[in-house]
Amino acid sequence: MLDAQLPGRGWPQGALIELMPCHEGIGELALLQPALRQLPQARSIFLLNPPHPPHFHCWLNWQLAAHRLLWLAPQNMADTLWSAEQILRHDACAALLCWASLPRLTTLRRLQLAARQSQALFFMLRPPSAARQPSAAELRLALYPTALGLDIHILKRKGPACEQTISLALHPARPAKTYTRHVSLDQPVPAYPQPGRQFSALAS
Amino acid sequence: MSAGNAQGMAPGLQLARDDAQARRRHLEGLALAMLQYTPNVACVCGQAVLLEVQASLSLYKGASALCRHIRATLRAMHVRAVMGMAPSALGAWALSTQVRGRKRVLTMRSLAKRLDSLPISILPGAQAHADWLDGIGCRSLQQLRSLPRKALQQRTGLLLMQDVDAAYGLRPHDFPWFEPPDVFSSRLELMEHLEHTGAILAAATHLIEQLCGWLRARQMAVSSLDLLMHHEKGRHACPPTRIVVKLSENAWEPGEFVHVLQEQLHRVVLDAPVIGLSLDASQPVSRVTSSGGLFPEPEQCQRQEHRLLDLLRARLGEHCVRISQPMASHLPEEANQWVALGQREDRHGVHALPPRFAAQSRPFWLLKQPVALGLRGNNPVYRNAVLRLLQGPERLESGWWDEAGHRQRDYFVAQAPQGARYWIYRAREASGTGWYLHGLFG
Repeated sequence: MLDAQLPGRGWPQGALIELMPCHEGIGELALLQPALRQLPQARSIFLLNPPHPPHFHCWLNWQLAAHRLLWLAPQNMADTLWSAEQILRHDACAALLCWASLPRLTTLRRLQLAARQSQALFFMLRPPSAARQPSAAELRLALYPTALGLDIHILKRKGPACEQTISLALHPARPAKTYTRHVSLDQPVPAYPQPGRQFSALAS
Repeated sequence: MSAGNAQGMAPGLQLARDDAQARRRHLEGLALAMLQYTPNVACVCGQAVLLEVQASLSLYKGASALCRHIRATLRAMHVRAVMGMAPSALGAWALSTQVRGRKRVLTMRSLAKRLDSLPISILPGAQAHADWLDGIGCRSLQQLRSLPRKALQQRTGLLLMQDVDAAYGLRPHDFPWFEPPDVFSSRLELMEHLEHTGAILAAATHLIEQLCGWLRARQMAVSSLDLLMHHEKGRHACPPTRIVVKLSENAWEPGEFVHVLQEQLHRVVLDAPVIGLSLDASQPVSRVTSSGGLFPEPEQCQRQEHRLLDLLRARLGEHCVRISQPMASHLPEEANQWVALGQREDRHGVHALPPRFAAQSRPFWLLKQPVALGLRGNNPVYRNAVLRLLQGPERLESGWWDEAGHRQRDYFVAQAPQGARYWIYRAREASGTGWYLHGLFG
């Protein structure tokens, strides 16, 4: 459902993609998992300056064990951004996930240019306050948790602006033994008019 | 020009003594670096380095591209040189001494045309007869060649005519080719005391270019370099500062060493100014060559990745580039070990890997220290939100043999009202019970 809204029907490779989860650990990586699984296994996946130690068991559960995961822990923000640029310039990784709080606009533009010359999937994870600042990213998403998964606002994309919120169910249905299963009320509703549909006279 | 004249013309001039030995050492260093381009290199007349590049022309795709490469090397070494190129060795030497006109000719005919207009004095063999030739009004090489050859040879001896023939490429000229030493160890005495790593890098680049020439001539490659930075001797003597440039695979291109060294120099703190540098290549191995392919190959990508990791390790430090090394343990914080990339051991192999569970049963982030949670009623509270237990309990007991004590925990997946999920546990130990947050579902 998200793919349909993304330009090019998927995560663009060789572009700066900004994700702004409202706080850490709401499923921002589970959102990327299907994309990461499709990447070539010969190349590594870099986590640059992650907020907490990653847990390899989850990596294994996600069936990503064949991909090599490298954790870079630079001392300061300048080193982080330098590393991101070097990784993109060398074009030697399958995906780069970079956590950076408030890089400057010129830095973002440099990273976007470096990303364009590489084949890698490049995600930059930033705090929600970054949404108010301008950015050179090609795609910007704000993420909010819901009971079943994520609500995604596309703040910026190539092409027409996206007004509606996309709801994704990331978690499997709850175990049946403890809870009775209900149909969730958090279903996405096609709210916007489809082309080709006639409107009634009352609506106009 | 005398020293006094020179001082008069340029007041800020610094004069250095003409040290023949230093000049020879400098030329030999240059010759060593030039071995990157051809195996036949010679030092001629104590002021020039001669390269036979006939065989290298097709490798570097033409004369101008080759010149560009050589010029880049010279620039990296901070050497100022004038280049001449011609089909004969003496012709190239003659062209390089000219201030004006073309310095690069590629055919015998254009070389002859270019040489005809030059004065006789450029040939080393003509020095002895310069006055006599000037006296008979013979100034250019064209005039010299139009004189009757036999009579000229009787008056001037064999040497002059041999030089003329060699310059026009009519007879082969033989040179004592430069032989690279068996073991590479190069030292550079600096003119000034260096305190900045930028200047040290420039000087070290000089040595690295020499090393790469040596490696190329011997068909070798190295993966680690020793750079020693010598400090002033005497009362305040301190031991030389040592930098080891370590690459993850063997290399022989100057750029690969220089980039890593640059990042390492950024982190070096010098105790005293540097007065000399020496470079040693430990354990060179013979090079494994591979043919380049048209399409990108996995090995190529891997080399690129190694280069990147070398660079990252040089800048961030060895321990900041980590890879997971799973340990066989039931406790998640003990099993989830991350080590520096170079120190990973496959000792435990596959046995250390835990069984695979459902995708959402383990969190992506494991907190360094479990966070104690408050209680409201009977439910744990995190960030003022009451957590609702979704899955669990998953009982985990381990470590009764450990000093840390017997750990008994019940793990749950809990959810906050906003929707975020957490991995929490309830400690059931005798020493204390309570709820703890251990992981976040990324």
